[in-house]
Amino acid sequence: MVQDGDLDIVRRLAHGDGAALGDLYDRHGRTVFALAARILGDHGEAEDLTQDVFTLAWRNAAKYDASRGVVAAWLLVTTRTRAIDRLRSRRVRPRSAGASEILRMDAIPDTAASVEMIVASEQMAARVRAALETLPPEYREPLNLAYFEGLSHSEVAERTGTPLGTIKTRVRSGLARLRQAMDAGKER
Amino acid sequence: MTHEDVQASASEYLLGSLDEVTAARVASHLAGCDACRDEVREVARTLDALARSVPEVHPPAALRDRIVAIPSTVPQVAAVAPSVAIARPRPPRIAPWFAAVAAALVAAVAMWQAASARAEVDRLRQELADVRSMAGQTLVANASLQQQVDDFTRQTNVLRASDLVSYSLARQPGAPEGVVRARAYVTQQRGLVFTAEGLPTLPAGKVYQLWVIVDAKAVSAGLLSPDSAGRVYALLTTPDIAAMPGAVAVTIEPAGGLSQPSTPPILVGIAQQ
Repeated sequence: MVQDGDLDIVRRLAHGDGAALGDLYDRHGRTVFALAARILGDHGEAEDLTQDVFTLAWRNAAKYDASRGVVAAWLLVTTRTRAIDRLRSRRVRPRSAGASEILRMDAIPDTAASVEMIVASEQMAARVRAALETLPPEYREPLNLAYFEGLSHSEVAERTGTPLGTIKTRVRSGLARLRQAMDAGKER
Repeated sequence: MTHEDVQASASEYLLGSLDEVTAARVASHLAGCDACRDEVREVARTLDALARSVPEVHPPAALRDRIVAIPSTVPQVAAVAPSVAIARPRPPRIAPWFAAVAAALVAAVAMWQAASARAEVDRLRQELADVRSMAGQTLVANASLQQQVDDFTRQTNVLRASDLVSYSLARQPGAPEGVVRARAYVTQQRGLVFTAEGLPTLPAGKVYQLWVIVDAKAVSAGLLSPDSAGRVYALLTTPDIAAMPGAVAVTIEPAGGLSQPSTPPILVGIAQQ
């Protein structure tokens, strides 16, 4: 199980084993980076954010409590939270004209992650993407706005001109449908 | 909050878009409700899947180099808690006021101002954004500036934690004149933020000590050092406790603090329901 390997890594990190951080990155760096890039829309910022997340993992490894949640999930929640914070501080302080908006297309991909982990993760990603496609747009949009832009239900309602109650129902139903589709796909 | 309310707020709770008071209520409910915790866990699992469904983009190899360099430049935070050495507990010489406090409402508790709590979070976020834009987006060689950035990050993280419980402390009868208001924000994992205004300067040999009350027992959360204007803004490690505190309190103790309070509290706050 992914979590067992991750727990070993966290234990090593907690004991000050710096090499363990590279191992953690090899297992989860792509997912962290991809999520950061999706939210921030900029590869340079996504790199900075990835560095922030792994820095936090390193700094706070000794405080990790396995009963509170899965390491991989923690990494993604932290990535999203920090990315949304950056998005918000952009809104407060518009970025300077010099900031790079262009996604870097010349990056050499990092190939250190194990084949099995990539395959499993891609299968899951494919299942969820397929499930998302089955969601009608009026269900998908509030979910995307809430998740990838950090909007509260009220903010989503305002942005889309839809009543708050409708948004709440759609987010909840959308997530439930997504969950069913994910689980149905797994049984095949 | 009803189970239905909690389950309906699951996604906003997990995505951090609930206001602090509601988030604390949800956290409080989840601490004692397996059914709702299971449901929230399922929503969390779905959101995790959403995070993994994003377009595949590959980070450059150079990013890995930056990551593996982190351990040689960034210190780790120790797991240990208390800033006051906990001696073997001795029986209290005064009746344990904190047991009564945990069990009953204190008459003079100030009303919780959700609006001002949000303003405080926004202010912290703004300060964080300011400091970060000053430092650029790169690691800063200047240790004190980096420390400020870390502190603000940690404070914001406390206030954003999903298990955050807040306490609005009120001045107790017999407390020194001038203590205006104080708040505490406690999370199990990310630490504790304590703020106060109006704490008078103490005579030499005395110090303010912060306590969390869990199961009618007082556990030290550290010592407080107000500035010359009587303000405190402290980020502390949450002591090793089994549950979220029912109350938070401040006493005046001999310099260096004690393992158990020796005087009645000057400030007490009950966990917001």
